[in-house]
Amino acid sequence: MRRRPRELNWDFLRGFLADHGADPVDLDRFEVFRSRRRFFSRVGKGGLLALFAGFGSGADAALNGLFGRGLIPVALADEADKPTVPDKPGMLVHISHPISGEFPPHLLDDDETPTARHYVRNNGGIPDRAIDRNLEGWTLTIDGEVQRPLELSIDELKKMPSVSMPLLIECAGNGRALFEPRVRGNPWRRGAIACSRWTGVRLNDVLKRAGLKDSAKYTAHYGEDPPIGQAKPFSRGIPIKKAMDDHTIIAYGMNGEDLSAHNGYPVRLVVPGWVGSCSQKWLNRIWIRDKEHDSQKMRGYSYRVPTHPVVPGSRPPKSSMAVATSWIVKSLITRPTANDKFSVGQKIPVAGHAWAGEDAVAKVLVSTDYGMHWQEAKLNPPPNKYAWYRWRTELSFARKGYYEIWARAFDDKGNAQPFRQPWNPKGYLGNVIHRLPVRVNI
Amino acid sequence: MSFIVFRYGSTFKSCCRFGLLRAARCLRLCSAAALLMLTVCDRHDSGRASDKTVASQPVVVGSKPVSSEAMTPKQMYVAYCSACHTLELVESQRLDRTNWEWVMDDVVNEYGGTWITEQEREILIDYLVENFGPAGDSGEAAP
Ligand code: HEC
Repeated sequence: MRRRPRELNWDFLRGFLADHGADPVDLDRFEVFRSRRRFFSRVGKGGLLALFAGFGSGADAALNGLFGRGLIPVALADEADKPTVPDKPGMLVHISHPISGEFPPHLLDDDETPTARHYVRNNGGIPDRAIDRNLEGWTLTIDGEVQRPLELSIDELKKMPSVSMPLLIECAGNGRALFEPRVRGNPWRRGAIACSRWTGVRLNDVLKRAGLKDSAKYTAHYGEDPPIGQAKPFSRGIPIKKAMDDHTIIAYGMNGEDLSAHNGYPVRLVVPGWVGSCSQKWLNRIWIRDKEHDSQKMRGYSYRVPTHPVVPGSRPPKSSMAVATSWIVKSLITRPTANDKFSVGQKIPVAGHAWAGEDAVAKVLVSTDYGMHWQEAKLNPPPNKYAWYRWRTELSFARKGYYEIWARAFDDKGNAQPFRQPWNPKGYLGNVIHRLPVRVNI
Repeated sequence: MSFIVFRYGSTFKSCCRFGLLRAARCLRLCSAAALLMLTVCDRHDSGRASDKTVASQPVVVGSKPVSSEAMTPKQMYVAYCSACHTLELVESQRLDRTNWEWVMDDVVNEYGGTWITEQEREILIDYLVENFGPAGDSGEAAP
């Protein structure tokens, strides 16, 4: 009978691979993965996943399948249930491979979101290049409907005039968990948004250098992330008008440093105010097209919303779906923290952010009685059109009890956040008002 | 046991498809990995005979499970649904039958789970509806 190992550890695994004919090159890779293990998203189980990740995309997932719920060796089970990402402490992980995770609102209070608190939404694996921080052989290709196709090295990119500004990136599905009836996909609550400082080159400068042909209508973005399964490479695009906006940038800096591996090292697009999938990570090609991009993630129901309001729970025909583009008016309460306790009469600073995609925020109102009365918060404009506004107010409660602080933003076109989440089949563009529970003397 | 062999069949395919390893090396590693699993996952280890089966005829590209009849729906779910991604997201979904059917259509037609048969599809959908079906409301601001 084959004996079960007493302890499943790295040495055992290495010995096992050696015994079963892995060649020296592979054993070297094993050591690399062993040391890289720290980087990966899970302790214990993640280490094992990481080990096999290097042996081909899919190997890690397959291994995970065998270690799936109920099959995880007991020694690893406890650890495996608590996914953590070393460089993103406090991240609520929705899925560890491909990794997606968000932060609770009270950790998003900064005007410029620190890298450690920038949400992560991956559709595939993280490229080796990003993990190893290896620039070798990296170029950015600009081709398609241009006069002069380009192939830019990172140095050439950095030689071009640069800009640096805080810009909003928000996952199209942020708020999905608040849809009723429930819809498929990552159950984002409110934290799949960030406003980090991005440094890079204006996309329009690069496109001018390549020379757009009259036929240029749309961009198509590609990155280096390995797809999972037989999924097509993740790719989305934007109309040329948005590509030419001064705030749409090819970023090589994030909060004053190189990009983090999770957020797109070495280079990503930042298409602020639009659904996050436009902001291609690990970018290496922009193909200029003569029509709307038609990749898998541009068609069907992917990143598409109905052209008219639909019955909740129903699925309109594909012909009634249109590409999701800019975000709509929204706000977040970042202070206090949900379920904080206060005393009667205490002065409570309340603060948060507001934003409205392509539009300006006109005002933010706050209520503590389920919307019967509202008071206007002080609103500070953002440093640029695509960063978030800061709002602040002060509250105090005259009687004890359970309260909900509600925030409601209005844009300059007269739109306000809804009280109930309007519904669409994939749960995109959720902007229902934020309700934050607090307790006073109870 | 057969599904383990099969699983490494798909692993083999994907690691070669991405050109990350030479085919021979990939094959060797996949079978080493399968063996490793046999060693550590006693739950599905039905004895020496089957160990030998796996060890001696490791992987056939695109192979189907010899028989998925031996699997419980749960085993099938774990084996099939974690072939490409981890299961947390699947298990946090609260979807009705129509939506699970929709997800399954995409898994088969868009994501590459082409090896899932019509019959297995039905078993998986039943399992998903039963275990990850609709729940109450989303509980915003629940005290
Ligand atoms: C062949 C690979 C593959 C297999 C097998 C597979 N999936 Fe997936 N799955 C994917 C890909 C690719 C995605 C999309 C990832 C992305 O874009 O973020 C996905 C996404 C999902 C999602 C997210 C929701 C959505 O809207 O797409 C769910 C839920 C899901 N899969 C469930 C399942 C279930 C249940 C099974 C087992 C029957 C399964 N998957 C098997 C590849 C696979």
